[in-house]
Amino acid sequence: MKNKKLKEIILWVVIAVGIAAVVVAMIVAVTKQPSSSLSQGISSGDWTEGPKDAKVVLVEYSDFQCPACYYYYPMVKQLQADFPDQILFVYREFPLTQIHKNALIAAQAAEAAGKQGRFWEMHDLLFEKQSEWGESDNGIGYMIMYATDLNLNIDQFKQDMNSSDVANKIDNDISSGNNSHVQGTPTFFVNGKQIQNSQNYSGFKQIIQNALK
Amino acid sequence: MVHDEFKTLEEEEGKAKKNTILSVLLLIFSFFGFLDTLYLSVKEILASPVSCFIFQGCSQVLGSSYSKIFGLPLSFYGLIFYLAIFVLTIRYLESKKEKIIKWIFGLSILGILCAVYFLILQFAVIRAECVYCLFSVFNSTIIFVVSFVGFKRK
Repeated sequence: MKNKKLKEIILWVVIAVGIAAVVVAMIVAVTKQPSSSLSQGISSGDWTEGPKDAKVVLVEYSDFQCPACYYYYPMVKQLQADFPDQILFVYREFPLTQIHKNALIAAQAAEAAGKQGRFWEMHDLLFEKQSEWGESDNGIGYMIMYATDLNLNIDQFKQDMNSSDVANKIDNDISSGNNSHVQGTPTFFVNGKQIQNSQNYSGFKQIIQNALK
Repeated sequence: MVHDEFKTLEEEEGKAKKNTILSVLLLIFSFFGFLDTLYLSVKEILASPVSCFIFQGCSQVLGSSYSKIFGLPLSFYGLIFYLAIFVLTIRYLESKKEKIIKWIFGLSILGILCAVYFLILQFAVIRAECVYCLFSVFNSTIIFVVSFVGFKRK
């Protein structure tokens, strides 16, 4: 009887230790995730918003069709509003074409709009209307509609969308993203260091404030 | 007479064996659920984003107003749920007390109800899916089915 009781105690101690070990292992695994740095610096080919000599350079690798990117879109806007003179925001294309069927044409549309000087307008429009065009079978039709809304030269826009120039820009962004170990979207880099996306605005703002110190 | 008794004993043994298989299934899936919710809980405490894959809605789901009850993230409750199933199952294996099956079954009903609710939330309300949450729905469904089978056999 006594022996049985002892066995029982040992069993539960072993289980408790086992569970504790799993918890510790999980914490270690999660905190050890390496953060990588940006492989390619900002160049004249990048789409940027904000002063060139800003203290904080915020680079986003993003996919116009990704819901999480849509979620961060207003946060970035808010950051730009809260730190107008201190953030240089850079947008790089990272379309996840395997899971988002219209991601690539959206990236092409933004780049083509950029050729006519309206990249950021298209960028905003694509995020704001993501639910409209995202899963549509007529993605191209929507892109042309948005280009029309932005008063772009449509013939030029269509031509640019399929140009090798635009394709190269997107490929270049994707490969610089891959080299920077971008694994999903959105991935942000603050002054060249990848950050852990915070789930709310105050966390994100704190990261920027820390970078400004 | 002797023959009959022998048969019952054999049946009893068969039943015990099947109960052990069911218990092992419970252990496996509650452990998976435990790992899943532990990951989310640790990420929540460290305020770092989860590595989202397959579905892209983790930030939306985990950042939504539905992701907390009484100020605590749902992953904490899930963690306690899976831990309770795990511990109760070991307790059952060790003591073979039938009433523990009842407790596990009761808990699993709670689990499946929550799972259905979370599924509706993700697909119909938030309209974003998170693979960790779906995995948890899967685990609690299996736990419900297994404990239902165990409960009916009792």
